[in-house]
Amino acid sequence: MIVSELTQSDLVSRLRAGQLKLGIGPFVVNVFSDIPAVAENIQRLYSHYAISDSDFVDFYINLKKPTGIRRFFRPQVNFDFDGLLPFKPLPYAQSFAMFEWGLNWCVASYAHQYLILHSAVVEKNGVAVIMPGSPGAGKSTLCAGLIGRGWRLLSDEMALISLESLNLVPIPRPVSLKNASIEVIAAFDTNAEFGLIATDTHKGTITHIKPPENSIDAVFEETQAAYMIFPHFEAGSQMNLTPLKKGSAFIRAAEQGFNYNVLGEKGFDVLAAIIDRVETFELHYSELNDAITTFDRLTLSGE
Amino acid sequence: MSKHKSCLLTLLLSGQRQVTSFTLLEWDVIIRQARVTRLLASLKPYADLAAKHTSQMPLQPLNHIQSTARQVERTIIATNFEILQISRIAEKLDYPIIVLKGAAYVLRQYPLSCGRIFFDVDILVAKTNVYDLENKLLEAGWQGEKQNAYDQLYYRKWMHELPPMINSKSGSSLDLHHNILPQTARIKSNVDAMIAAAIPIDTHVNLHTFMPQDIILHSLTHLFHEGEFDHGLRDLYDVHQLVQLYSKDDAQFWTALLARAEALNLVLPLYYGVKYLEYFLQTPVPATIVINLQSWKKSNSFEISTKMMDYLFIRALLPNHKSCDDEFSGLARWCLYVRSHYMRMPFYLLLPHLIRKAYMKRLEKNQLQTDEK
Repeated sequence: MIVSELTQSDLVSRLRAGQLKLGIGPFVVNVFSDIPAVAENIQRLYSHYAISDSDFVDFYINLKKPTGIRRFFRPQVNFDFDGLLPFKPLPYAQSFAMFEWGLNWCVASYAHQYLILHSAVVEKNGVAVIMPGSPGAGKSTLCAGLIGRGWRLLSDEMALISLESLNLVPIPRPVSLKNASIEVIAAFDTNAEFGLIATDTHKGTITHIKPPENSIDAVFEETQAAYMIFPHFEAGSQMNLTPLKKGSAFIRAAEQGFNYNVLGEKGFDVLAAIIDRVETFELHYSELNDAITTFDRLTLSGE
Repeated sequence: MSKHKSCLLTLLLSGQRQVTSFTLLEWDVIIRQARVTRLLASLKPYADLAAKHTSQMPLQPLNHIQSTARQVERTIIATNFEILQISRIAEKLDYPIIVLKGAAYVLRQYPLSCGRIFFDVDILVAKTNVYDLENKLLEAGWQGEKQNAYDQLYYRKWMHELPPMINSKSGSSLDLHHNILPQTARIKSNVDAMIAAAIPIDTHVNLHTFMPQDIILHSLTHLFHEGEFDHGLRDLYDVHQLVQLYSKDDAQFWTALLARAEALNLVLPLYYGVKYLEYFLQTPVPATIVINLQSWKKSNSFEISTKMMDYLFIRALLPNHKSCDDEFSGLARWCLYVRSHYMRMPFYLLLPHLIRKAYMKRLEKNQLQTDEK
């Protein structure tokens, strides 16, 4: 059963009762919330996700207003994970964004069966690309552009690399866009389906786009990385794909490791093995179309 | 009392149920109970056992347990690094440094340290040496964390430790103690006797840990005098494992423990400890010890009725999770929080302190909101 098969009132009442178990990548996430914006965005963005009937839940997440007078005066939202409150509350209007950020944190903090890199991961014709990126490098925008042109979304935020098989484990989620990128993608991909917009967050204005349904259908199809590309968006720059020395790629990828330090020697070994098997590049671009053409060419070069 | 007797986590830790007997639905609850009490990594030996003998350990809970165990591995490496830094200072001192709690278990390589998530290193020296060591730590790169004058006064005048320090190289936090209880506490113990009996560590010059009986008494004193019960069950499980480790090769351990508790004026925490070890974890305790502690309690009853304290402690020691809570659990935790303040300071100091803390908190909040604008 998938979310879109629920009526709106079913969805709302399941959320209010804390009985909505979503299959998100390899995890089962139980969402509990009576906040209308959370229900609205789950309906829009998670419509194609499986409703899990697993007896075991990985993350119980409860988004709720703090008790007391703040319920009424400049209301806020708390992120409750397994009964713990790992964050300070955020303004109420950012409830859904907090769900997404908080879930990222849960995975990065509690799923050390993977090496987790801050990275987008996409795949086309069996060619999978890891795109590590520091904030502002344009990784999410490029990722949104690519999935609008037929690439499969494995993740826009974190590469999950199995410590045993070195496989990339898909965790497709709504792609987060901020500020100017929102307009860029709306113009670039007129079929993109957007969630609600949250303004004045610590990242500016943000919204999410719904992941492609075939990416969700392929959620359990793991793959091996073929390329690691470090994107840099620079207004007015020439499209330029340049090989990157493996040593530099290793250091820069390790800097983007959410749990690289936790894994210690194992993390080093796994990242080294990945770097060994992929081709490593740096990509400078200003036009989304140029960048995507370059990516598409990568899927042909092996043939 | 049904919920108290059916906490799945304590049924597992006490051995009342076999690790292979749990359904996936039950594991779902155990993982939550273990996470809030910081006992997840402590489940690793059980999970390994289940996986090895029967392949009846489901993968999803195993992932959560192993994940936390990996974090603990890093904690142990980081703790050893901190201890090495401290030992470089200790080598040049003419007085002993006692390593306490989690860091002491790591230093002694106790098996329980593989399950323990903790963040701060705690050390203790005699009060006459505390400012000397503080200066040496500051010279070596540690930095005071709380700069505000009132916090400084609170720690230095009333508490049993200095304001927390941060190692500027590693970012780890260090608490430097000179006593096991606040200077203002109602119960007075004898920390000098504990320092005198401390046992040196072969591998590090001038670093010690308390003797086994004192390690137990310190842990229990901490548990029953602090108001934070969030990981109270973890602390109780520490003691459960420690007493079994110590008494395995020492038939006189328990008798010596009771005698030591009397000498240090710490029988009350031992009384509660033994009571709840038996209640939650079915820890084997010699009958004579139990009888002696009960008769001690009867003749030294300065606390409200035993029934009342049971009512509070049993609720507070259980995982703070809906699977264990009843309608009075929140109230019980609050009462014990209030009790911890009452144990820590006389009212004429406590009331102004609490009012001041509340006021400062509000001030900070307003400041934050002004900054945001």
